[in-house]
Amino acid sequence: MTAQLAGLLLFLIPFAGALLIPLVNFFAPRAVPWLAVLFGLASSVIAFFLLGGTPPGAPITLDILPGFFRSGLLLDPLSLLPALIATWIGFLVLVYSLGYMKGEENLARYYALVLLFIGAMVGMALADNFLALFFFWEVMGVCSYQLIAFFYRDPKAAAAGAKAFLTTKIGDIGLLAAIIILALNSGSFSFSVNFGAAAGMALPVLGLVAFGFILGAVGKSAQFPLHVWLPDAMEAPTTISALIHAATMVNAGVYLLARVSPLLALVPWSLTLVQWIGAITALLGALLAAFSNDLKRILAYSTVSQLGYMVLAVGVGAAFASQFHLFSHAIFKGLLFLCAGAVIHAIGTRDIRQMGGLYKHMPAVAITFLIGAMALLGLPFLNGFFSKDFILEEVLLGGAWGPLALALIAGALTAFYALRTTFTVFWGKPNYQAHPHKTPANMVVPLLALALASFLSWLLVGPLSEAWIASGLPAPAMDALELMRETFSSLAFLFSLAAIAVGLFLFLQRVRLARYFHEQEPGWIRATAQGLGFDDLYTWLADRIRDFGGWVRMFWEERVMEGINRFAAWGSLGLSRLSCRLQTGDVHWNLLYVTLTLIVVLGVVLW
Amino acid sequence: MIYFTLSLLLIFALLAIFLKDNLLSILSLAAVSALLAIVFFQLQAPVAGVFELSVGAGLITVLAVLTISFIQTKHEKAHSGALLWALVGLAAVSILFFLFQLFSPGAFSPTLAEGGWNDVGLVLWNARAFDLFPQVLIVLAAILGILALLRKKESVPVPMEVEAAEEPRRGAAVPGGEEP
Amino acid sequence: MNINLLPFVFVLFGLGLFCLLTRRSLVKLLIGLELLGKATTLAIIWAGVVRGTPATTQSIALLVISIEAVVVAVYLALVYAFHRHNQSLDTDDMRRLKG
Repeated sequence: MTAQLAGLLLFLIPFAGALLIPLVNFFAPRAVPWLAVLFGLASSVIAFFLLGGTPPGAPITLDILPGFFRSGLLLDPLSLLPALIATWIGFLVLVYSLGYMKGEENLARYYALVLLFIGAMVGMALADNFLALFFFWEVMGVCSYQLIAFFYRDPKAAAAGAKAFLTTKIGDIGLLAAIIILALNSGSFSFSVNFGAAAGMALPVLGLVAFGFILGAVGKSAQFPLHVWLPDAMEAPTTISALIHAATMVNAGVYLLARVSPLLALVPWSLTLVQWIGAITALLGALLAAFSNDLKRILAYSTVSQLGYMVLAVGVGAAFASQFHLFSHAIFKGLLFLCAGAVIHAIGTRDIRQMGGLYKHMPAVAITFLIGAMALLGLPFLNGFFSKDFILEEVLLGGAWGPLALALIAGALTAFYALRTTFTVFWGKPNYQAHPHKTPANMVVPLLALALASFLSWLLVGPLSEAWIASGLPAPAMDALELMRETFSSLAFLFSLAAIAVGLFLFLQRVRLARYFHEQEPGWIRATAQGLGFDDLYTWLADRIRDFGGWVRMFWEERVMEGINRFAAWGSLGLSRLSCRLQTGDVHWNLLYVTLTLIVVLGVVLW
Repeated sequence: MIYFTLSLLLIFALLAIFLKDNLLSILSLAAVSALLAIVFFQLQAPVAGVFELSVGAGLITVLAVLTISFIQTKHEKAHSGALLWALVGLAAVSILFFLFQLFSPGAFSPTLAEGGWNDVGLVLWNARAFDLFPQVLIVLAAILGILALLRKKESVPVPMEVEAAEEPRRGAAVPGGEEP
Repeated sequence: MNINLLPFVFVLFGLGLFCLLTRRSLVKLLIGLELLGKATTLAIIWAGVVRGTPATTQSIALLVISIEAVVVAVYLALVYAFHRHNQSLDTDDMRRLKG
């Protein structure tokens, strides 16, 4: 089959699955998880054709609105990567869910939403025009919020879902505005037409467009300042956190920035803005992760931080580096989340202070988690090391010193919290109350697969860069050996080693540090527990908006409408008083009216 | 000549309006009618003059006096100094009127065509014959109206206090055998 | 002689209206009505004089006069009936809109 057909099927099949599952649930509820896994498997298999199938073949385009709008599939490496990640990791997550979500209620909704999400992510990545991209973007947002609020009975989960939806919505508005401005200017939604027409646009307008795209990415990828939704999104089932909030949806923003980077390059300040946003986010995320005690929240902040690295890479024009790190991050963060899921499933709590010494009970999970943590902090020969160093080197070459400094500090903190989390959960003094149960096999297998991938995925850099260059996207040409050579001989290698060393040192001193913070600077602990005040700021803002709405309602109801009522009453009373005079019963009044009428008629007749 | 008539007309009209005695007002009205008839004659419209005299000064006056005599119970005391007022009024009005004519717009000297009986008869019966039908209808309607107004009331239940109020006053009324 | 009767007609008409509007006795209302009628008749005849067609206008004036007489007759019957009912000739007693 051609790659185009594979691409089309790749998002149609999950959509079909999502539609079919409620139907099947009506007849055979117990078959639903297996059916979902089947659809996932089908998608994963077809995904191979996307890569290795016959050359693209005839482009498949669809006339959505005849004469106005035509949508098609764009199959270049930049779009294939998120699509493949979504499909393959989606499949692994579905398998994992068989065990993790066993016995929960409303499973049909869960699996349908997961399949819908996978289809939407693929659709977004493979879209060749902005309108289709936006459509799938929104579908992903809906699936994400629904899945966050999956345990809807829990008010925290429901609130977190609403928060995610609204926060990303702010970004979506920016994205929509940018798309509309572009479409108005060029008359079409397709990428190629817009990139061509963009050069002719006035700079302020282009600036608005760039800002809109950046806003959309910031919202979706939980960058500063719209990062507040991702930690709360951890109320979702852990499988969802692994899939959506680590591997796929949060990458949508990075993908968007990479896709429109030709446009951003036309507006000088936008790339600088992107760099700083990325760097600040990286530092902020690492800082908040270092102080957090909730296992999933640590991983969430870690995701925010790593996304900051990717955004930083796009900001210096290294889209290939960012996508390479995205690839590695999807693997090791997915791994970390799934391990966390296993731990939480076994222990029943997310607080790491109530864990410890779990290595004895779940050695496989412990080892794989350790591997993931090493990848996260960038230990040499794991995929995270190569991709992160690639980014740092590109930033160095791009001359962005400020962001680089922030990224290095973030690197140190990353090392610290990665080590701290691993050791607190799996080694050390056991602190848990309940007796942990065994992890089922279908939860362990995906972990092993991902751990293996963490060692090996960087080897794919050769084919990846070839594919990039072949399709005209800018990328340095290198294969695995060259990558090794480059990395070990660069300045960034030294910097990152130094950062890891600092982090290790901090970790070893962790007891002293903890005591210092608890006694001398408790304010710092409190502040980070509240996310450094961003949530409060947004709550305050939302309250002001609600107050304004209340004021508008008051004004409308009690001034305008009430005023109209009073005026009507006054009018009719006045009219009735006037007409009283017409009916006095006194013949002279009547005669007077007759006389006046006669005068008027005389006037009319004479003139 | 016509000025004099007109000014007298005005005086009598004013008298009719301002006199308090009903009978004298009616009589002043009769004088107005008569003077108007004279004006018609002076304008060479004898037919209208004759009619005005007979109807206005004759019929209407008689009817009105008759009704007033049925109604009027006591005599108002005569207005002293009414004659003086009348003379003053006469003088004033005449002066006013002369002034009027001096400054009246569109004053001209009309050639008074003779509107004799034959001519009027011709016009009335040939050109304006149709007008006589509504005329008849009006007279009929008036007859019916008068009959309705003057009918003897059958025993309609009248509220007690109205009857009681009407009792003491009936002694003074002089209607011909009417009863509620 | 130079004459224009139209202002006079207006004056007479105005007097009639004045009497009609400001007097309270029913007899005075009759006077007012009558003055109105006479002013109208005079205006009609004067129009005939001005246009030189006295015959036509006299015919119309005849109609007006006779109608005027008829109206007076009905009015007097009304006065009589009213007096019989209310024992007064004051329009202020006529204000009750019930018969």
